[in-house]
Amino acid sequence: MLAFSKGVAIAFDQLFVRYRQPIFAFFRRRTSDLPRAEELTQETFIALLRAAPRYQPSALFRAYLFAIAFRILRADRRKVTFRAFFFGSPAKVDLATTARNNNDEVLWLRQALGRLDAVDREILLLREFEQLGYGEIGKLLKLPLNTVRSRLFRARLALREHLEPGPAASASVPVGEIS
Amino acid sequence: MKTHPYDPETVMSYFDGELSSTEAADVAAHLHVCPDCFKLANDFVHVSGVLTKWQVEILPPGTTDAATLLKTKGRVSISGFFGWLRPSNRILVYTVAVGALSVLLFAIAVPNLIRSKMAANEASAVGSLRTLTTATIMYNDQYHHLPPSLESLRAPTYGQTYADAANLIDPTLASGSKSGYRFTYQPLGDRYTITAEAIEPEKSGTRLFSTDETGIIFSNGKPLGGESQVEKTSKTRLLDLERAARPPATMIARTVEFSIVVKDFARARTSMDALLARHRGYFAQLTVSGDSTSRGSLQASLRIPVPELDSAVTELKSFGRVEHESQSGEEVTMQHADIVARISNAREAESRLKDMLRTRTGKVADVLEVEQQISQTRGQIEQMEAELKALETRVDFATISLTLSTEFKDRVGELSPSASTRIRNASVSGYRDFRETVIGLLVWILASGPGIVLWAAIFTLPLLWIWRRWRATQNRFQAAA
Repeated sequence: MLAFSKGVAIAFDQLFVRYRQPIFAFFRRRTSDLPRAEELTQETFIALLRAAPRYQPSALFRAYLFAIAFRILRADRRKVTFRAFFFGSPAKVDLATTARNNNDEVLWLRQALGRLDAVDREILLLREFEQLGYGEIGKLLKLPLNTVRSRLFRARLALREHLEPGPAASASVPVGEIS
Repeated sequence: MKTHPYDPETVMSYFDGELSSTEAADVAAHLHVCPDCFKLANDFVHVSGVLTKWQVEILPPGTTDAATLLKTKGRVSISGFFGWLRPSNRILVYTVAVGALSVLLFAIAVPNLIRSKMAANEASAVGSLRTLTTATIMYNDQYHHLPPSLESLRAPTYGQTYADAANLIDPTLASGSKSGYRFTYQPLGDRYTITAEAIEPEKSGTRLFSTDETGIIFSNGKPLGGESQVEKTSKTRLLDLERAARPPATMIARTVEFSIVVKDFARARTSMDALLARHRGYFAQLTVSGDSTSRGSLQASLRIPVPELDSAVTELKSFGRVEHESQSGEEVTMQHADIVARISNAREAESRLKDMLRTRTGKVADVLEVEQQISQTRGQIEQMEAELKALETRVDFATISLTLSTEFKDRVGELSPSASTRIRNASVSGYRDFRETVIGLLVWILASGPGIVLWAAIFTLPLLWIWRRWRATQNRFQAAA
């Protein structure tokens, strides 16, 4: 990133190749719409391009990139909520029909995740899938480190409990977008 | 009860690689010997393992590439019109834009607001001039001369109206300024002018208003929209009044009636004597009845010099609880003038009779008759002078009719109403309260009900719509989650 910020264009190619899939996965796990996840991935890299001249390596680049992605996701959610309130609901795409591993176990997992508190779930996803540290998650969500740790612990225990009874216990929980 | 050197969150931190190498080594050693903590760590591993099964699609290779992004960098806006700015600068620009918009709205709204405020002030000034015209006419009618100042049209601070406090206009207007306009009253003999000028020109008002005894209101020297009916009436009335003869200064005999309940009768009696001495008054009549120390009552007629009346009344009120108060003023101007004229005539008659007796000669019977006439006239003069003196005393000394009674204090052993009487009284009171409440409720429903129903109809539907819309949005996102 430092090389790209100094004008080495090919460095961006390497960044793009390395992080396009993790960023796409980040959005894909949080949106029910595949094209929207692609657009948001694209927007994240465009934002990265624009921010490049001002880049200061104060943290890991991975955390920096996910911070941009998280802000874009939050802005997108605000827009969707606003549009849904004033102009009605957008067409929904069920993740179950588009996910690569659309098996019962994943559906069951997603249902269990859906039953977690929204902030706890976000912390868990950032830790498990984006591999961010407690401090990075705290900075992203503007939470103290101890709070992140407590909430992550709570989320894991809750998820373990939700996963225990078996797929039939909460079949009524809908599957869709994790907001 | 088994205790662990590390709490579960520390075990989790070890699992996530968040501990220092020393701490991690200690926790790892503990996990080898503690089956509970080992199981907890295994649970975390299990949860992570389950989560890793949630894989997403691979981003199609042709969807986007770095070269395309580099080209579209300058074209695609990700944050609207100000997307090219830094986030911090973007906030600044938004703030400036909102600020500029606010200033623009302010610049448009404030002059309109000031204009409407000035128009309201000017309308109020015209209304005030009309009020002052009417008040001046009424004052002239009552006191037979023009008010000396606007202050004399105000309400009295206490008691009855008089020439310096005629109670014809509100205190704000009497103070000389109201709603951004200053009112100046100038009496000139039988005529007067009132001008209303803006306290802050171009801010509280632009036009200068004036009026005079004709009742016509002028705006910047020109009649304001012709003569109104009120102004025409005022004009005619004033002309009529001008034709009327001016009687002498007003004389009013004032009477005040009080009924006061005191706690300590003896003390009140002593205070009353002191009050009379202090205000140079006297008892015209005094009747004390009952026990003078505890449950006595008193009826008295006090004569107090008029200038001392207000302060004496205030002091009397402080004796106890005022249960009744009334004040009256009898105008005796004409009566006084009549007696004075009759005395003058009688004196002239007496003088002529004395001259006749001195200059004319005649029979003894005629002389005796003249002397008898002189004696009768002298008697009439003295009687009228006594009447005049009494009348002037009535004017100079106000009469206070005072009833002083002691507050009732129940005593043990005193008879109280029987139980049946009390029950009957309570039931009558309860029935009356119930009836009044029901009637009050019905009156309120009939008076306010239609309005409430209308407002409810106006507001309910939009609020219901917003509420349903909001709930639907919330439910949709909760369901999606």
